Amino acid sequence: MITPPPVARLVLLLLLAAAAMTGCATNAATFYEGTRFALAGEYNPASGQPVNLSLGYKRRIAAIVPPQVAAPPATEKDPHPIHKGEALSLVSLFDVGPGGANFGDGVIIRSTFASGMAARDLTNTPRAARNIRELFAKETLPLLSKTAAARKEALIKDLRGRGITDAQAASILQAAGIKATPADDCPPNEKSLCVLQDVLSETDEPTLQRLERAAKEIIPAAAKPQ
Amino acid sequence: MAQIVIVPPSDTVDELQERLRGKEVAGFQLVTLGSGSVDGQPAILATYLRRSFGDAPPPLILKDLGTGTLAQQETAVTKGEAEGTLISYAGVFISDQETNVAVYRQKP
Repeated sequence: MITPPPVARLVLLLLLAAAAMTGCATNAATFYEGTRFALAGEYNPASGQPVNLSLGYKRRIAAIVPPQVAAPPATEKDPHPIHKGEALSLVSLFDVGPGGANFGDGVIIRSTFASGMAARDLTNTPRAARNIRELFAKETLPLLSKTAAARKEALIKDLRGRGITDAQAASILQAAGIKATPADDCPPNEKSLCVLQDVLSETDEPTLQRLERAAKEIIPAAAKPQ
Repeated sequence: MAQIVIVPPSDTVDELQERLRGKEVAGFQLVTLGSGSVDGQPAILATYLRRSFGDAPPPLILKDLGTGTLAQQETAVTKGEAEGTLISYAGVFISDQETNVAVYRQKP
C-alpha cells in the first residue's frame, strides 16, 4: 500500500473536509489529483550488465461530486438529504509520452481536467466522444456478439426498407437519448439520418437496445427489442 | 470524406472481419486496412467511405497470408482473387502479431 507523505495527507484531508462541507451545502464539485512520475537509468560498463531502467508512477484522484440540484432546505440537515438530478460531470485525463527520439530527451506529461459544462461539452459530439474513448481504450469499432450483430443488421435493413426520413431519424435519436453533432460529410438535408448512420455503425449493445426501442416507438413494427 | 477508425491489434482474422463488416452494414465501405500507431500504441487503422443509409456493399473476406518471399505473396494474393475483388493488401496486426492481410470483397 502506498502511503502519502504527512504534508500530502494533510492537504488531502483538508480538501476532503472542505469537499464534505461544500458538497453537502451546495452543488460544487471538489477534486483532488496528485501524480508522480519518475524514470531512472543506470549503466555500468565494467559489469557488462545491460542498462537498468526503473520507472515509477503513482496517481491519486479524489473527487466529491454532488448532484446538480442541491438538497431542498427541508431535508438539507438530514444525515442523508434527498438530492435530485444527475451528478455533475467531471473528466480527468493524464498522459505520459517520450520527449523526443533520444533517451535523454525526457518525458512529456500532459494532464487535463474539466468539470461541469466543459466536461459535458467535451463529450457532447461524436468526434469528442470518440477522442475521449480513444484516450481510455484504443478502440472505436466494437465487436458485437453474433446475436447483436444480426439484430443491428435487421434494424438497419428494416429502417432502410421503410424509407426512414430525416425527421424520423431525429425522433429516434431523441427518443434514444442520443445527442450528437453531424459529421462534416453529412448531407445538409439528411443530418439526423447521417448521425443515426454513424451511431449505428459503431454502436455497442446497450445503445443498440435503446435504438431498437426508440425505432419501435417512432416507426411501429420497425424493431423488435430483445 | 473518409472516416478513419481504430481497431485493436488483438483480434483474430475472423473477429477482425466481423468487426470491420459491422460498420459496413450501416452504409459504409472499407477502402483501406493497415497497421499503424495511435498514441504510440500499435493499432489497426481502417478507412471507410460513406454510402447512403443502410447501403452495405458486398461482404468482406479477410485472408492472413503470412510472410514469405514477394513471389510467394503475389501468388497467394492472386489465388485469393478467385473469391473476390482485392481491395487492400498490407501489414496488419492479427492476434498482436503483424502479418500480411489481403482484404477481398465478394463479387456481387
